[in-house]
Amino acid sequence: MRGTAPLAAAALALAGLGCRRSPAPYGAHTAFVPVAFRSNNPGRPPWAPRIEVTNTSAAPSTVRLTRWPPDAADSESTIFDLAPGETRTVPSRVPLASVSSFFFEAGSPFLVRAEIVDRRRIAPSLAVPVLKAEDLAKPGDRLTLGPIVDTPGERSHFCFTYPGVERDALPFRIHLRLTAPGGGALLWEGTFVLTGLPLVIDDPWKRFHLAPGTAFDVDVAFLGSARSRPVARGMWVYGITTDRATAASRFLETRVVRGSAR
Amino acid sequence: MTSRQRVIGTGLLWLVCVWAVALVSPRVVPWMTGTNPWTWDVVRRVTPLTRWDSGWYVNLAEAGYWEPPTRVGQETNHAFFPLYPGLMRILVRTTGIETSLAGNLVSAAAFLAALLLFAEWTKRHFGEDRVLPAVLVLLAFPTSFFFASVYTEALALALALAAVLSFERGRPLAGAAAGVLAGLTRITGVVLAPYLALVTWRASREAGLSTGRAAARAALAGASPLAGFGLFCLYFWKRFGDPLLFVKAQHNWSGQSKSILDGPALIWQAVVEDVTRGRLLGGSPARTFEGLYLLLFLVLAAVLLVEKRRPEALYVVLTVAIVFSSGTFESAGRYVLPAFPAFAALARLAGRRAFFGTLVALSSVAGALYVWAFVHWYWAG
Repeated sequence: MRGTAPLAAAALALAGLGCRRSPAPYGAHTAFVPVAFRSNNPGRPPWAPRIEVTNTSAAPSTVRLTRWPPDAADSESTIFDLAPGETRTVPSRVPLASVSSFFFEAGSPFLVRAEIVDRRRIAPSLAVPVLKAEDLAKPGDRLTLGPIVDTPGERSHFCFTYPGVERDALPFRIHLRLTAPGGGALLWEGTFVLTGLPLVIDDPWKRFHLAPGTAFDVDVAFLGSARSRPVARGMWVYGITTDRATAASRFLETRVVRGSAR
Repeated sequence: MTSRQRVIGTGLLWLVCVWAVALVSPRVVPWMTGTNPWTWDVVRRVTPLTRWDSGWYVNLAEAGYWEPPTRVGQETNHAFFPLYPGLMRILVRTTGIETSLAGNLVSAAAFLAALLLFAEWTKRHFGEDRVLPAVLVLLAFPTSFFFASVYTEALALALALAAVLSFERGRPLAGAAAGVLAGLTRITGVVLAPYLALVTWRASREAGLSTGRAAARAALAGASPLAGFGLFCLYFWKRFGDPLLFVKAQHNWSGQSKSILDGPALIWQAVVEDVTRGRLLGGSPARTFEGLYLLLFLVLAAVLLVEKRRPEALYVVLTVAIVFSSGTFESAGRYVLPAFPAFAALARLAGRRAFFGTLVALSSVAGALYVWAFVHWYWAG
């Protein structure tokens, strides 16, 4: 039908505009900070991220940082020009009270140190494990961690997180299994699509209808992009357990089971 | 140029205009904007014609239905029908395009199909002279930009017209298929049921069918959108164990406990409140205009009744009745869009050329303002 030709052309043109892919890699060297967090909640430690990047190569280097989410559109991506050996403090530029991730890329080696600090210096700082892109789970991989606890002394939470360069593949689809610690009984199981931003599960007992205080392990099978787009880097899940009395926190160990190894 | 080409050309031109206004709007008074409730990842990727409830369709296309709501006031995506987001999902999975753009493309394709069917329906019932004015009225209606947005209105209109025309032409299977799909698209599919039954009865009797066969066809026609809605309920029953989850989700949407019967009283309370507090154009202009659209469509239903187009009048009245049962005027200007016979009735004003031209021009300007408001996160319906 002749009348449909312009429509098809317009549709194809629009479709071309809408087929965004993840940004091209900025270099072979990467560092992923799974959590950057700042808050100012009354009665809680005023947390702030403290992140430094050091050029460990013998030549000047350019490092690209992608914040996800940023506090404003213009701070989503930042370029750092670093002299050999130079260390630079990274401005956090993340929204208040929501978890962000930082993803660094460069053509030459660099080092990233990250911690979450109490700006009053009362609660101990929390050193954040810095990962490489290769550490992240790819579609078909599983991530396991635990135990997530809620006792009079301690309380845990966990969070799904991703580098911002995945923005055009997000949201991700996962299959989540919660089991009693040490591979025990299945407590909850389901397949769902995550939000496109780091998703903190602050009260898993309520969210997954578990008996209050039940300890459990988390097993996440990464199924891929809900939009059927190629996943460039991957995703991560971290867990944190906090001592109620001292506000001291520690990361739980996250293990990756590669799809090919199963 | 044939009549069909003229209609499709006009529709394409309208789409270009709506998109041009939508793309320019963010640069027009950019500091004036409503509260954007969406998260960063969604805001940065969706098209400007994706706002408010569009987010639920994007979410449904990407994530499917969630766990059922557990309390009043909890908003969940079970309040939305599956066909439109299902088509978006197919387009996204096959092409990889942005989900909101897929919605816009589904809407645009459905709307162009609807426009051709509307022209044909108008020609059939009102004659060739009414076609272009009716198309212009539909395009220039202030809230018509929803046909290009990530909303179900275009698909609902296309399927309603496809069902009506198919039954009128004596193609019951095609009509039933369109009716079922309309029932899977939005709640207006349900009010399509009596309309389809009546037009099929009328067409069957005019074609000389016996009373029994005409009644059987009318029953098939009327049952088709209800069957679509029934499939939707069946799906919820199988998956969540609650066939009336859609009703529950709609009920839970509001922060207050209410039933369909409370709807008119709640609307009356809101009207009295707006009038007594002087908020007609200050506090809630969109709601005031939406009340006016409802009144207009009730008047147009009366016009159709006077012209002895009883099935069409009933369809328009029932479409308006959905709004009254909801307990709020919000979205009324959008809900009335699938009530296509009203647009054909309104097009009779084309006999007074200067008045009609002025009306279309003013309405188009209002439409552009609606697009600006929508893009800037102001409530537009």
